[in-house]
Amino acid sequence: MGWFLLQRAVQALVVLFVVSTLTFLMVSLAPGGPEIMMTMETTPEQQEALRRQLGLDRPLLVRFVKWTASALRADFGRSFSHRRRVNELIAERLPNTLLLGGTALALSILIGIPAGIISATRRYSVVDHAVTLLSFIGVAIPAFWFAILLILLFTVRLGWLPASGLATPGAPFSLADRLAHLLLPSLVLATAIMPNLVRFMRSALIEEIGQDYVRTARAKGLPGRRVLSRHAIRNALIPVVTVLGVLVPRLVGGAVITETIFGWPGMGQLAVAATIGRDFPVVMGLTVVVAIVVIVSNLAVDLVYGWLDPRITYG
Amino acid sequence: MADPDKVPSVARAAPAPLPVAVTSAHRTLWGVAVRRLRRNPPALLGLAYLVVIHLIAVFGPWLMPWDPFAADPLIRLAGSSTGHLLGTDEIGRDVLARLVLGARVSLAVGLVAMVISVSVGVVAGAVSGYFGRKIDTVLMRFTDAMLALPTLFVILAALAVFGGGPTTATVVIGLTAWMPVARVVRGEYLRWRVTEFVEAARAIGGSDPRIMVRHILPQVIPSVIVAATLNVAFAILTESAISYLGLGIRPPLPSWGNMLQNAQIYIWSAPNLALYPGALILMTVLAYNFFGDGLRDALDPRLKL
Repeated sequence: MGWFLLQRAVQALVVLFVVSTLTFLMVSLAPGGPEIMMTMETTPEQQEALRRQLGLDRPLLVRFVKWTASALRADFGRSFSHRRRVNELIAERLPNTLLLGGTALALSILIGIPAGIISATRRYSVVDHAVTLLSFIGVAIPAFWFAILLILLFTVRLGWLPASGLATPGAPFSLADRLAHLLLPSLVLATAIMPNLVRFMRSALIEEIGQDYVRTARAKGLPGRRVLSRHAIRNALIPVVTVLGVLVPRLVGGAVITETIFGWPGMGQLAVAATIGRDFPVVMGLTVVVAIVVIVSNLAVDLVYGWLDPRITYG
Repeated sequence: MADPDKVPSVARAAPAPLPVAVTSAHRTLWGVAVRRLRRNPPALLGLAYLVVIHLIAVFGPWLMPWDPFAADPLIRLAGSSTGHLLGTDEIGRDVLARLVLGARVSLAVGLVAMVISVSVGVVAGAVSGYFGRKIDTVLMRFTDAMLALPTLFVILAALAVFGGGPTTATVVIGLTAWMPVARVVRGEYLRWRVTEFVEAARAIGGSDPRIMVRHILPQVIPSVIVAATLNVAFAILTESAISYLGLGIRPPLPSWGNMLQNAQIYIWSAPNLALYPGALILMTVLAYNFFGDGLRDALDPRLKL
C-alpha cells in the first residue's frame, strides 16, 4: 500500500512536470505575446519596453528555469493584465470552482446513480426508455444553450432564480440566497457528466444481475430488493467509481463554460479571460493547478477502488 | 499451423474465436449491418435527419433569397414575418439565412476536425498495437495523459497561444479528440496481428507497412467508422462551445455556436434568437450519436444475427 502510493505519487509528479513543460514551451514559442494586445496605441519602442518589463526579452531557458524554480515554491509570478500575483487570483477563485464542481458532482451522483438503477431493474420499460432518451439528450445538448434555456425559464419567465453571480450584490449573507445562486450553474455543470454516469450504472448493474451469485441469492430465498441492495448494486458500483475518476476532467472543462455564462467568479472564467488577454502567467498557473486537481482525483479514485473491491491489491 | 516459433506467444495463449466477417453473397458484414440498421428506428431517424441537414448545408446557402451578411438596423430583433421567416438578429440580419450558412460552417468544422482526429487516432493506434513493446507503452501513456486533461481547457490554452479563428479551432479540436480512436484501433491491431492471414502475408514477404495497411486496416474500418461518427458529434459540440466563447468561428461568418454568443444579452427582448441555433446543434449532435450507436450495434459481429 505504502509502496503503491509512493509509486503513484512519483508518476504524478512526472506527469505534472511534463504537462507544465509542454505548456510553457507552447506558450513561450508562440508568435505574439501580450504586447500584441496593445499594438493599436503603442510604438515598437514601447512594446519592446513592455517585453523587457515583463521579462520576455530573456532567453527561453533562463525564463523556464526561473519559472520552474518559483513554481516549485508554489509561486506562479505576476499576471500581465491584473497587476496582481497569479497565486492571489487563483486562491480567490479556486474555492468557488470547488464549490460549484463539488455540488455538480454530488447532484450527478444523487440523481444519476438511482436513475441508472431504476433503468437497469426495469429494463425496456417506459421509464428505462425515458431515462435512456434523456441521457442521450444530456450528452448532445450544448451546455451553454442548456444554461440559456434554464435562465429563460427560471429567471425570465418565472423569476424564481437568479441568473448570475455568487450572491445578490450588496445583500447580507444568507444561505438561501447562496443556494439559489448555486442551483442553476451546478445543474448545468452536472449535465456534463450525469448522462455518462447513468448509462454506465445501467450497464454495470445489468451485467451484475445476470451473474450466477445473484441467481444463487434469489434461489436461497432472499427478497429481490435485498438481492439488489446487498449484492448486485454494491458490485455494480465498483466500475462506476472508476468512471467518476475519468469524468472529473470533464467537470473542470465544463466549468469553463458554466462559469462564463453564470458570471461565476471561478477558475474557468479566469481561464477564458486569460486566454483572450494572452495572460500567460495566469494560463500557466491555471494549467498546473488543474493538472494537480485531476491527478489527485485520479489517485483518490484508485484508493477508493481498492477499498471497495478487496480483490484488488496494490502491487 | 506454421512453425510455432514464428507465432507470437499471444496467439498460442489465447485462441479466442475471432469474429470473422461472413463473406457469402447474402451475409456480408455490410449486408447484415444494413438489415440491422433497418430495425433500429432511432438510428434511421438520425440518418434521415443527417441527410437532410447536410443537403441544406451544401445547397442551402445558394438557394436562400436573403443575404446572411446584409444588416438592416431599422428592423433589428424583428420577429417572424413574410419578409424574414425566422426574424432578424441584433443588427437586422436574416436569421434563417444565417442558420443555413451556419449549418455549412458548423458541419464543415465538425467533419474536418473528425478527419484530423480519426487520422491521428488510426495512425497512433495502428503503430501502437502492431509494433507493441516500447512504442506501445510510450504512445499509450501519452494517450492516457491526454485523456486525463480537461479537453476544453487544453483547447483554450492552445487558442490563447495560436490565436483563434476557423482553421486553428478546427485543427485544435481535431488534435484533442484522437485518443479514443487510438485506443479502439490499438485494440483491433493487437487482435488481428496474431491471426493466420496476417501470418500468411508475412510468410510470403509482406512488409510491416503493407500488412498494416492492406491486410489489417480493412478489418478495422467498421470500428473506425463508428468512432468517426461519434467524433463528428463531439467536434460540432466543441466548436459551438468555443465559438460561443468568441474564440472559434468569428462573426460576421455565422456558426451555430457564435450565433448564440449574443443571445444571452437579448434574452429578455428576443428569446427566439437563443432557441434556433441551439436546437439545431442539439438535433444534429443527437442524430450523429443515434446513428453512431446504431452503427456500433449493427456492425458488432458478436451479436446474434
